[in-house]
Amino acid sequence: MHDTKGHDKTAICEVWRRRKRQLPEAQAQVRRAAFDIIRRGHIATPERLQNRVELSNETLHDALSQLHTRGLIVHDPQRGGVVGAYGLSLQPTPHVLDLGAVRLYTWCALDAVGIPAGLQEDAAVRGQCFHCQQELRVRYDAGQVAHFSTSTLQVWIAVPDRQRSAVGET
Amino acid sequence: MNFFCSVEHANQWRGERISQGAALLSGQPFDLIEAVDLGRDLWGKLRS
Repeated sequence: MHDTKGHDKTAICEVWRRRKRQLPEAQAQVRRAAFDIIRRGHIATPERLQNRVELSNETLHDALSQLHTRGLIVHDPQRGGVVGAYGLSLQPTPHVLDLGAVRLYTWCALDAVGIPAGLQEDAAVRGQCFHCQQELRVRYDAGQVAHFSTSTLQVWIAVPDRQRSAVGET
Repeated sequence: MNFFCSVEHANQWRGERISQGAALLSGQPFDLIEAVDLGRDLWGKLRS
């Protein structure tokens, strides 16, 4: 069912904030650990994750399964672990994020512009206009926007759909 | 569904959706700095 009334910006921001918070402790630990590993350009294998969380092996694998089912991580069995978490991806997408010296990708435009700001990192974002495919670039110095390629750059942000994967909706 | 666009194209795209009889997506176009501020809030807790 589509929302035909729409949401104002304040409501959209609040829904995103709530969505990021609502996870059981074990899943939150595992997602955070996967994000930290991926941001350094590595696949979040079970072994790497185990070194970063305070969970039993069984609880770790249960949390991975739950996160995967909820669409909150991307697990690639052929690569041996998690390749996407918290909007950050090792798999190519239209949103390129050079985080420091590491080439990464993001699930959506909000992830692309938000992650460097949240991490306060030097970064370069490259995407394209959804409508005309014009290339768009944003550069960050220590998480602060230092340059962007067009003054009319906008980010269309919708409320996340609880019934859909976080990956699929971005 | 979040994506980059220009002000002009955001409005154009929304107009096309309406003219096609499609329901409005529950989204809004944010200025870059507004989006960055939201992102800083969402991902800031992951800073190590």
